Amino acid sequence: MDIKKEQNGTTLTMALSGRLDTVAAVDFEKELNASLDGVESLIFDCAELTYVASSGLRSFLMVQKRMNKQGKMVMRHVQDAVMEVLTMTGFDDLLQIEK
Amino acid sequence: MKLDIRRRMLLLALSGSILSFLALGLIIFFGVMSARDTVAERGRLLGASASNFVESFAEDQARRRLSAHVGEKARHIERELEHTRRDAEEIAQTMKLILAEKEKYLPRALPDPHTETVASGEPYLNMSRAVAAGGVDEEMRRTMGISGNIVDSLSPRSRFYTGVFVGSKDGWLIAADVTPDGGPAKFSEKFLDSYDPREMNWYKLAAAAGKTVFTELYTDTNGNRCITCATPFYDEGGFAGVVGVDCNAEEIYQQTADLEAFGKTSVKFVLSKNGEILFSTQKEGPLAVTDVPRDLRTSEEQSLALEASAMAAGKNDVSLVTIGGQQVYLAYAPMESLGWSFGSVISQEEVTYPARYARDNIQGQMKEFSEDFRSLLQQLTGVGVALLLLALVAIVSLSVKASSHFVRPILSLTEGVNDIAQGNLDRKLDLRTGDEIERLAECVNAMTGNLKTHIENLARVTADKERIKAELSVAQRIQAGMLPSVSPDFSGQTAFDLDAGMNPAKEVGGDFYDFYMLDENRLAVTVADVSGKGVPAALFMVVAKTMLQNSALAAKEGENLADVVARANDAISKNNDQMMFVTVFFGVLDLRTGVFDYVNAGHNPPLATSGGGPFAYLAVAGKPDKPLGVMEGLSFRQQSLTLAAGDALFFYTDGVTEAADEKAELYGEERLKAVLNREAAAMPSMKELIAAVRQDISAYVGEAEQSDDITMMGLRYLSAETK
Repeated sequence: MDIKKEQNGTTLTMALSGRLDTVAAVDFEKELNASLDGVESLIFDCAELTYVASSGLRSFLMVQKRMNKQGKMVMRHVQDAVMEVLTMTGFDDLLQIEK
Repeated sequence: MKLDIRRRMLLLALSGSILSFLALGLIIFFGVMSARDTVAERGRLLGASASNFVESFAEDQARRRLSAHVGEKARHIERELEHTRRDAEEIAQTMKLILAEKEKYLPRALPDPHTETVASGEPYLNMSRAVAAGGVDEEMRRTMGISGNIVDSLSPRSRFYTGVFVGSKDGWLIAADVTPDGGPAKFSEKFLDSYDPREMNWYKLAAAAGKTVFTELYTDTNGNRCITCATPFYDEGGFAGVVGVDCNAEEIYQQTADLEAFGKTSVKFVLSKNGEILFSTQKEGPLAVTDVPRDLRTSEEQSLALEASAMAAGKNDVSLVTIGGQQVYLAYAPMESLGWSFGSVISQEEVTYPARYARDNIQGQMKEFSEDFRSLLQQLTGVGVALLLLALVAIVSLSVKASSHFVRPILSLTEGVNDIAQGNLDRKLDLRTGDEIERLAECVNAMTGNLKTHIENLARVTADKERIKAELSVAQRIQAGMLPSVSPDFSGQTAFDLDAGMNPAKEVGGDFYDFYMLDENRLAVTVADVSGKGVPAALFMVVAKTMLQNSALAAKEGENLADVVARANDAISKNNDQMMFVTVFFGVLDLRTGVFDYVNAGHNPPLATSGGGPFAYLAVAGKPDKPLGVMEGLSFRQQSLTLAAGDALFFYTDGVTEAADEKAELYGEERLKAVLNREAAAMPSMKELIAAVRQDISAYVGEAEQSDDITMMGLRYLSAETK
C-alpha cells in the first residue's frame, strides 16, 4: 500500500492506494503514529484504496478514536468494495465517511 | 601468473637501488672524467705558463749574466788601463819633481843604443841625428843627465807593458823597451837616427790635450797591437815633454778573454768608437778583425749595424741581432777611457737553453703528472666498479632478505586468515610489525570477533525462533484444543449434522468456531473472525470465545440473543485499548422446532439451502450490527428463520472467499456457491461438504500462500427431536 501525505497547517491529507491488509496495517499504524501530532483535521483520500482487511478496519478504528480527541477524521472517495466491507461490519456508523 | 608481493618488492628494491647506483656511478664517472679533463687542461696550461715563465726568467737571467759579463770584461780592461794611466802620471810627476829640483840630482849616464847593447827592459837614451845636429847646449845636456834619474821609475810595472819612455820637448827619448823574447833590444840604425819623439802621434796627442790620453790601437815595430798611454810633464818653464807607456793591448784583451769563458758559441770582440773591430775571438766572419779596417756600423747585417752604432756611442745593452741568418744575443758595455766597447755574442740557442731545458723539464713533469693522474683515475675507476659490483651483490642479497622479511607477516597473515576461513574463529593473529599489516591483522581479529559474536547471536536467535516455533506449535495445539470437535460430543446425534474446521494462516489464528448445547434442545453455533492474525488475534479470540460462551451459557431460556451478544460485547470492549474486534455470527437452533435465532455482528452472512434448492446468502435485513469489541453499549438485533428437515446452513469467514490464487485473484462467493451446489445434490454429510469446499479452495489457490485464516462450519437440520 502507498501513502501520500500532504500537510496544510493542522490539516493532514493522506492519499491511500492499494491493499490495506494485515501486513500493510502495521506500517499504516506506524505512519499514523508519527504524523498525527498537532493534526486537527485528518482526511483519508480512499479513491485508490482497493481492499481493506479486518486489520485495516481496526487501524481506522484506532485512528478515529484518537482523532475524536484532537479534532476530526474523514474518509473520502471510498470505493464500493471497501464500502461494502464497512457497511457489512457496521463500521460506516463508526467512521465519518463522505461520498 | 603475476609476480607475487615478495618478487615485486624485490624488483622494486633492486630496480631502485640499481638505478640509484647507476645514477651515482654516472655522476661520479662524469665528475671524474671532467676532473681528469680539467686537470689535464690545467696541467697543460700550468706547464705552458710555468715553462713560459721559466723560459723568460732564464732568458732574462741569461741576459743579465751576459750583460754583467761584458760589463765585467769592460771594467777589467778599464782597470788595467787605469793602472797604466796612474803609472804614466806617476812617472810624469816624478819627472816634474826631478826637473824642479835639478840641484838635488847628479847627472846619470844612460846607455846609448847607437853604440851599446841594451838589454830587454834596460833604460837607454836616444837622440836622432837631426836633434844632435841641432846642437846640444850645456843646459840641455845637464837636463838630460838629471833626467836620467827617472830610470828608477821606468822599470815595467806590468807584463802588458812593452815600453815605458819619456820624450823631451828637446827631442831626446829615455826609454825602457821590453823585447818579446827577453833578449837584448835590436834597434835599426835608421830607427835610432830618425826617431824623434816629438814627431810621434802619442806625443802630439798628449801635448795637444795637456792631459793623459790613450792613443788609437796600432801595431808596433815588433808586430804587437798596442796602445800608448801618454801624459805631459812640466818643469818650471812649462811643458817639458810627454811620458808614454806602451801596452800590449792584445795581451790585456787576451787575459780578459781568458778570465772566464762564457758559452761555447760566444764571440768576444772590442769595437772602437769608429765602429772598427779592434779585437775579436772570431778569426773569420763578420766579427773578425780584418787587415783593412771596416766600419761595423755599416755592416750588411742591419740589426748588427744598429747595435754597433750603439756600441760606438758608448751605450750598454743586450740585444737580439741576426748574424748570418742566426739569432744571436749581443751584449756590450763601454770602456770609457778608450772610447771602446766590449761586445760578446752568444747564440740564442745557448742563452735560451736553460730556459728551454726548464720548460721541457716542467712540461715533462706535467706530462708525467698527467699520465700518473690518468692511471690513478683508471685505478680508481677499477676500484669503483669493483666496489659497485660488491655493493650490488650486497644489495641483491639484502633485498632478498628484506623482501622476505616484509612478506613474512603477509604469509603469516594469509595462513592465519586461511585458518579462520576453515572455521577456527578462536584463532587470533599476533603480528607485531607496527605497520599496516599489523593493523590489517587487528582488523581481521576484530572481524573474526564480530563474526563469532554474530554467529553466536544467530545461533541464539535461531534457537529463540525454534523455541518460539515450538511454543507456537504448542499454542496451535492448545488453540485447536479450544475448538470443539463434533465427536464424541455429538456422536449418535440424529437431529442435526454438524461439522467445522479452521485452518489458520499462521500457527495460530484469529478465526474460531464454536458449538455447544445450551440445554438438551438448543444448539448454539458461532463463527467468528478476529481482526488481524497470529498470536494477538489468537489471544483476543480466546477472550471473545470465552466471553461469548459465558454470556450464552448465563442466558436464561427465552432471553433475546441480542442481549446475550450485547453482554458479551460489553465484556470484550472493556480495556480494549488495541481496538481489537471480532465479527461474530452467533446462532441458536431449537432442535424441537427447527427455529434458528441468530445475531450477525459484522460477520459475512452464511449460505443457506432450503427444500433441496440451491445455496443462497441469508438476506441481511436492515443495517448490519457492528463487530464485538468496537465499543461498549452497542445494541444488536436478533433475527430468526425456521429450518425444515434437510435444510442446511454454511457458515464461513472471509478467508474462504478472499483466498487468492497466484495471480492474487480472489476465490469469490460465486465459486463458493458453485461448489456447494454441485456437492449438495448428493446430500453429503457436512464433513464431506466441508472437505469438498476445502479441496476446491486448495485447487484454486495452488501454490499461493494462505493469507488469512480459513474457517468453515456446516449445519443441517435433520429432524425434530424430542427427549
